[in-house]
Amino acid sequence: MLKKFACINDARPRRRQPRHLGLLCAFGLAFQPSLALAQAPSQAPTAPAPAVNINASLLIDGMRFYDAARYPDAITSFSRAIDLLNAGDPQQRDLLARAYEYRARARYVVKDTVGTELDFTLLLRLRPDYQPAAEMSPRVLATFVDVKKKVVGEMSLRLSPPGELIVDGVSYTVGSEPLIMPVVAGEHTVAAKRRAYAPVEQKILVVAGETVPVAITLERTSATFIVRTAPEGVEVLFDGVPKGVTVKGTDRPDVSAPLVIQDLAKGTYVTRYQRECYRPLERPLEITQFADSELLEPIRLDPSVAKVTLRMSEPNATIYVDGVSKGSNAAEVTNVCEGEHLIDVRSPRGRFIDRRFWRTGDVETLNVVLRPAFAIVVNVPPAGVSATEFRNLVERGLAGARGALIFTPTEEELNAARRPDELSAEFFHGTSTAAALRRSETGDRVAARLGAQGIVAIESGGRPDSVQMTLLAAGSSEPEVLTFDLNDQTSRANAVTALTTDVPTILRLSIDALVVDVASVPGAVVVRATQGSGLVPGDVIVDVAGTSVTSVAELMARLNGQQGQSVPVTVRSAAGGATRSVSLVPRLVPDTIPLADRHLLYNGLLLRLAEALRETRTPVDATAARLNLAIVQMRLGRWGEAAGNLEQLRLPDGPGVSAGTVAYLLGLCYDAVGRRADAVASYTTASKSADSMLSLKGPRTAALAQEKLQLAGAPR
Amino acid sequence: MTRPAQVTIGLMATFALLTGIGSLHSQNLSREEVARLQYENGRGHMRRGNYAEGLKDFTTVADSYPESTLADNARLEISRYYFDIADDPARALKEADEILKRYPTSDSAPYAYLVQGEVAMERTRRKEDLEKAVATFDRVPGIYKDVEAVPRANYLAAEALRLAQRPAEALARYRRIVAGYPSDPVIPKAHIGTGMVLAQIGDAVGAMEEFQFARDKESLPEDTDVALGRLTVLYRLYVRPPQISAFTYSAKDGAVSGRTNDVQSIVFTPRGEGYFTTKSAIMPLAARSEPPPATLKPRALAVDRRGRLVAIDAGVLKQRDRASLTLSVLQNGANKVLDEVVTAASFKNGDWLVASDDDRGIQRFGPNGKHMGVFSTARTSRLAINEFDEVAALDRDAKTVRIFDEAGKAVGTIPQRGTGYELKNPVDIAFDALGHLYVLERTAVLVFVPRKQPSAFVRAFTEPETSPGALRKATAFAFDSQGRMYIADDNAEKIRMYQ
Repeated sequence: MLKKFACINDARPRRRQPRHLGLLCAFGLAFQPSLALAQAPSQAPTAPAPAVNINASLLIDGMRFYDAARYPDAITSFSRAIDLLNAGDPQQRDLLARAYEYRARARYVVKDTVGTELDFTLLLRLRPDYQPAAEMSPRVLATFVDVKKKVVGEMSLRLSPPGELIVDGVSYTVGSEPLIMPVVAGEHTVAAKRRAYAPVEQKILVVAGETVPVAITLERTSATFIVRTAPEGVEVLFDGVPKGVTVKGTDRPDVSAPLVIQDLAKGTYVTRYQRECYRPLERPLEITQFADSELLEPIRLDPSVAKVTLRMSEPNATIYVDGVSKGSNAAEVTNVCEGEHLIDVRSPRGRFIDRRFWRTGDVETLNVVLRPAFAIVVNVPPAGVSATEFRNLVERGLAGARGALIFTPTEEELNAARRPDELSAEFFHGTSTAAALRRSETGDRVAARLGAQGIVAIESGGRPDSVQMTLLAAGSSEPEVLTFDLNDQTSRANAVTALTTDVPTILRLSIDALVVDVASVPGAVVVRATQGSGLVPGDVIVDVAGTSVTSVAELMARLNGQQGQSVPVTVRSAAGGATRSVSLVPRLVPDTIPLADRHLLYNGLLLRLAEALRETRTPVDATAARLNLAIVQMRLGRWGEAAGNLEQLRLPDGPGVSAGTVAYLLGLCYDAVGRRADAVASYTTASKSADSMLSLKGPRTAALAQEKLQLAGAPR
Repeated sequence: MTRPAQVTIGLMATFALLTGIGSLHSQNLSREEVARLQYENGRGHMRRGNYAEGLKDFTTVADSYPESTLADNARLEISRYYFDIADDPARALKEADEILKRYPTSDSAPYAYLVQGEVAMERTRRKEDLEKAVATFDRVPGIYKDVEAVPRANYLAAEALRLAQRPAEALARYRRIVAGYPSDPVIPKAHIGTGMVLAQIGDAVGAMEEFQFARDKESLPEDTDVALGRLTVLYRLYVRPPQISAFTYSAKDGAVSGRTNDVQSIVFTPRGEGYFTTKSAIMPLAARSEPPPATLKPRALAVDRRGRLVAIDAGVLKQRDRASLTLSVLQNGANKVLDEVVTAASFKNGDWLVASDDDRGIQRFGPNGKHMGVFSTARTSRLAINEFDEVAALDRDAKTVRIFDEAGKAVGTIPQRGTGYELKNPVDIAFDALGHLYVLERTAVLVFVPRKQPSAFVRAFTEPETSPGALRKATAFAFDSQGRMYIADDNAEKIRMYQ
């Protein structure tokens, strides 16, 4: 980089201006480091001066000597510079030419004519286009011109079409007008190489003092096509072969820079312009001659997007489009390009998947409801069906299931998730304790890696179109099997129902009294009542807050939703038929899911009850959720965890689901894990709780516990 | 370690019947498809009550397409038809046996065992026979483990135990069903069974709770109605305060007949049809009832083991559309037809107990009318048999009720006097569905639990003298399925309903 610096003159006392001030300044500008050394001793030392700088100082010395009319000294300096300067170096070449010029002039002064002519010859050989300094004396100039006539000739160069011409390896631009180029007499090589043209090379003999016309006409060998697009970033293909992608232009904001497509043969092409999220355009292009052609108007592509609105049920769930995370802000996902896309929303609680082909102009609102997701990790299709087809059929067939999402992870995800663990159909079906333990641990791990709440194996069910689907929730050791027929609508619907079934009711309304229906007695007849409730056996509840009730079902329907509130009811007394008003305070009490119900999908319930436990708001909610979670854990063989949950419960003793219920269930857990003494103790506790029930509809746990004690041979 | 639980969803595809069988010839159908269409056709006929046609279809499938996947199902349909509709247990058993022999691993095989057990159970209350039925039912869970028939098999086993009067075992079974199969359709029946046992062992409140459980919104009407009836009985006897009459009479809708007197007998079939007889005619209580059999000298009414009306016409048992049974005993070397039969009752196996208005005691006849001997020498004016085939025999003159077991062994007596009651003029007896024995006096109804200790008496019912429903000269009574009581009173010359 050139830096500015003060001309030498500025640092020295004024004296007669050397005539070559400009030249010296120019040298100084060119060779700043050396002059900087001379100029400012206080400046920091610079790198060692290059050789050219030394030579430049010789030149400068020569100049001084020349200006001081010390011509021999000048000749000596110039000679030394000439010896040292390298003609091959473009920087030094000019210096060399100057040195020759001034040595020639100095020699002329000392009457060394031969030397003068020799120097001018050497100069012109170096620089045939050399122009001597303007102050050269006319006589010296005449000598220069004479020499030039003997040494230099000219080429008058024309190139059609204009462009770059290479003369002796040096490139020159030849425009529409001829380029007159002085050259040393002799043979020269003139060449032209240009894309789309046949290369040309000629040897030209130049005679000194003469001008040789050289006219080269390039022959076109291919066509060039230039196109702009709107927008930029469009890939251009010719007959399916990519030719380039347009880039952003600078002159128009919506139009790309020109894309030049070269080396095109004559013929007809199908050009295709394509860019993601734009409708591709195809046009025929005929090239009939080798020439440049350019479309005057840019190629405009129409956007091909569909509008999607995600209505999120969970604000913190992460949205993925085609596997790429888009964050949690649904507003960021508004358009998708035409084509097949996977919109996938994930949270620890569940997943939403939408996989479809989007067409331009589609407008769709997706209600993103997360469902516990089960990833298909084992796929054993029937003969004649590909694995992809099989899993697509299963996914589509079960898409309507509200309680679970059966989906296929990508191949990469699956391989990564399965890599350390061997998963096969046998993994799901093994019956040994070790197999169950492995399922519990491995299933948990694999599901977590896949961002799912469980894993699934799908296999052919043995009959044509029959599917056997084995589901395993994360952490469960007991999978459940659903079999259904792909081609039977009823069968598929039943499978969807099984996957959709809501969590059974785990909280029910209680009025702390047993009420029954009696024929010909309109109302709900009290058979048993807790002391202090205001009811006695034989009472008939005939209305609730002024609305008559004729049965137990009507009574409970009227009380629904009024837990914790004081509700006035009219009661007809058993004794005399008189009516009175009583305030009932219905309350929610826990009820239990069956320990084994073939119509329930316990693997799905495991996930939903775990979530329910996390989200409970009241103590009774928490009790019901924990109690039922324990039951589901028992069903799935997670006895230890079930016992842990049951041990945390504190239910009062009494009718219905109560302390005796918990004690009985604990007994079952302890039995399963081999804690015999604890089991017997729990059963004993349960056997003493006369009114406890396994569920609000029975049976009584005391009797069940007594059976267990009898089997164990323990005293009741 | 349990196997992965199997939730089998609709393994059999359902086919809509698009064309009749006749058009099959025009279609290129496989044998399996033809069999399937014929089977579904048969089911359609059965649903519409065209039993003969349905039977034809099923027989075709079973005989002509034995290799089809529905051949066993067709045989099962035939078996069930003979058991449930045609009352031909022998044929029912034959088909069931055929299923077990030829298709032992089919999905019908467990149900074939159920047919075997039900046949065994339905016609007996002998303990040894019921135990055999239990063993048959227990084969289903034993052999087939976790199939859909298991809950029903367990329920039927529990019922057999209950009827064998093994309440503790029955209770345990019912509880296991409720705990193990809570969403099975058999659950309301299991609750009813539990309630029955609890009622019979004296836990009325527990029984009522179970009956109320059976009235779930998903229960079948047949179960909810039965449960309601049971609840109503228990309410009247154990919940209504003692100072309030167990039954009430409403003048507005209490009279169910025109002027009638000298009513000998009132009876209700399980289908709810009521009849009464005077000395000259048998009359229905409601216009919608089926016409009764024609008789000359009707003396009493009864229902047979299938719940069909039987008229006692002197010494002949008569039924509509069925052959009559002439009851005759060997006397002096000759068959003498009984006359003046005053009461009859049927055992579960179809045997009849008959008593005449003479000193012959209670005679026993087989289902075909064959005299089987003397059941009891007790003088009897009225007979009643409960669901355990226990017999109550009213000796009007002695004013006692004797209780016998099915073999004729006396197992109890309700003496004329006891704690809280006196039988002054008993005229009729009846059991309700829960085993309570009602004794109709001229002016009151007394309720007993025959085996209850120390006293069998539960409570009495009577209307105040001034009430329009007051009993003055009651002659006969009966209960409908809702536990409502119908009493004929010669003084009122009416049959009145009390509820």
